[in-house]
Amino acid sequence: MFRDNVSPWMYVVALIAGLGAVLPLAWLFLLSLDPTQGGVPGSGASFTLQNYAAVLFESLMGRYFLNAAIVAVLTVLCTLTCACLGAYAASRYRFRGRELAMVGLLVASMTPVIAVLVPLYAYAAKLQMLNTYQVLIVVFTAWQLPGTLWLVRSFLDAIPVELEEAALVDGCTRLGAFMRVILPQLAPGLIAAGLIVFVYVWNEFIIAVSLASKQEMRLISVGLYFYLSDFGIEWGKIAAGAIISILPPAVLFLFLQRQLIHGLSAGAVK
Amino acid sequence: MGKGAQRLMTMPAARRVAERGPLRKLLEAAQPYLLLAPAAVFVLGITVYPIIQLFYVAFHSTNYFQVGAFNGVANFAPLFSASGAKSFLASAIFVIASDILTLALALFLALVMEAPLRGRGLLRTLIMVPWLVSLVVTALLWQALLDPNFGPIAHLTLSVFGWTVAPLGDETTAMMAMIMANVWRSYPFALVLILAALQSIPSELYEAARLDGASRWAEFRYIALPMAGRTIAVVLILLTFEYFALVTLPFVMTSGGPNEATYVLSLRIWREAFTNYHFGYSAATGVVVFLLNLALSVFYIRHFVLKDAQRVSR
Repeated sequence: MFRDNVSPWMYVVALIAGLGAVLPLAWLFLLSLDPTQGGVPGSGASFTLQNYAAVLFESLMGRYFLNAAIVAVLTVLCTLTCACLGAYAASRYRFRGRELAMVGLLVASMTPVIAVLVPLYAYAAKLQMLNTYQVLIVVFTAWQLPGTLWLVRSFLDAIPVELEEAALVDGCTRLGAFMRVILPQLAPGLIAAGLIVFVYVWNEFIIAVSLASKQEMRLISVGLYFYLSDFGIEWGKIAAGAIISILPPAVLFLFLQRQLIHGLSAGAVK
Repeated sequence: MGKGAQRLMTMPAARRVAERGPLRKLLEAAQPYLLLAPAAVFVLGITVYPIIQLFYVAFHSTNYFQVGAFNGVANFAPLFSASGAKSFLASAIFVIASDILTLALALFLALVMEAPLRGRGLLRTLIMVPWLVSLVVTALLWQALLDPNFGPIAHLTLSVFGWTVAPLGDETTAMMAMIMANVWRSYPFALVLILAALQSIPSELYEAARLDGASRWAEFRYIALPMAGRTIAVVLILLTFEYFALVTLPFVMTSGGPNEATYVLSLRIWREAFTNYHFGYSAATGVVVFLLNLALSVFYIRHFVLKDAQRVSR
């Protein structure tokens, strides 16, 4: 509608939108540098890094960061492996029940996590798996797998089969053809899919707080929440923790923005 | 091509045919199922089994997490009390208001961002930033921003108008604040998808319309909206799923308060189980949320996913 036309009011709208997105976070950043607690941040106080030092060295936030990194990375690997296997079957084989399986996965992906969380908790308690990395990785993988499988399948469908057939005729096994012919073409899609899974797992809270809330097993989002109750309302330190927790997704986004946006839109609307 | 090379190319294929015994055939037929098996195990174990468990528990008495005898629909009773009604209302307000605001904002900004603005790439990056922020940080951030003692918003209203405001302390404004935080975090996702749909509309349509003397409003009403309509509908449904099952925001930002004004159904599921230790009540609420959600997913799959599949196969 406006693709061939720019008027000044659009810049005003764009400015407001950009500021609206960034100003609250900029304020959070200022707050994290403010050692005084209270008052409007930046009002005369000096800027220091002591909130960051306190969060990193006097609380378990470093441990929580590590927990989240371990769980997120392993979940990404687990999800991508299962998704590649399943998506390959759905894309390259014709078999009875194929569409049923895909639609079933889609229905599963729409199941609200909160509805299954309490039975899962009871189940994990019975298996003595609460407060472990394993339970988080398994549940996160199951949560992310259906959507990822659909996404990877759409990427696979876009890769022509002819090259692969040629490799098969040349004596490659199916696995060999997948590794040598498909994987290099699939890699950008897998990066996008992995990135989305990483961000979702890194930011997840309610599953993590229900299944692993024991002090040393908390993920970063859970640790941040408990900071309030463990150390009292110290906004400067909470802000520092929040900024630290935003860093990994922000850095990934900065470098892989194009892939991320591509993956997001391919996954939602085909 | 030499004779040797020809033999090299045909030989493996020939050998494969020769080796095809009944066992090998069976293995080959089972291959796709084996490849799908890991995904199926995860989904059956972590989604389907707990759902069955959920329905079972909802109709049985419970003591903490111990499941006892069948007790009919007794677990559903609290949902039909005044407090239960409040949860339904809170969920409805939260989902509908968030949906409308997110879509309106995303559509409007997408239309503006279609214009060849200078610095459009930078703007898009900036707008995507809140999407990277977790719900916990969003909740804490807005809690701090709206803090009546030191938050900048309270400071501003006090110095300019002389008002003291405590949005999270009042039933109506707490809900509004939560919706605002939710929209702030989630509209970038909607924006990206809608912008992509708008950009894929061919320019010829607009040029033809302009030759016929169409107004901007007519271009929006009769070209942009219908052409991007399907994407907008899909985005609406995806957002509804997300908002309806959202727990973290009320959990961290308002704890369901004040006076249960933000005690949405999804938070109720969590609280009944982990705060009140009523597994049965929690499961009953879970069943209701699951069924409402299922109705929406059936609608979505029928009208959007399967229709697409037909269109592709035709």
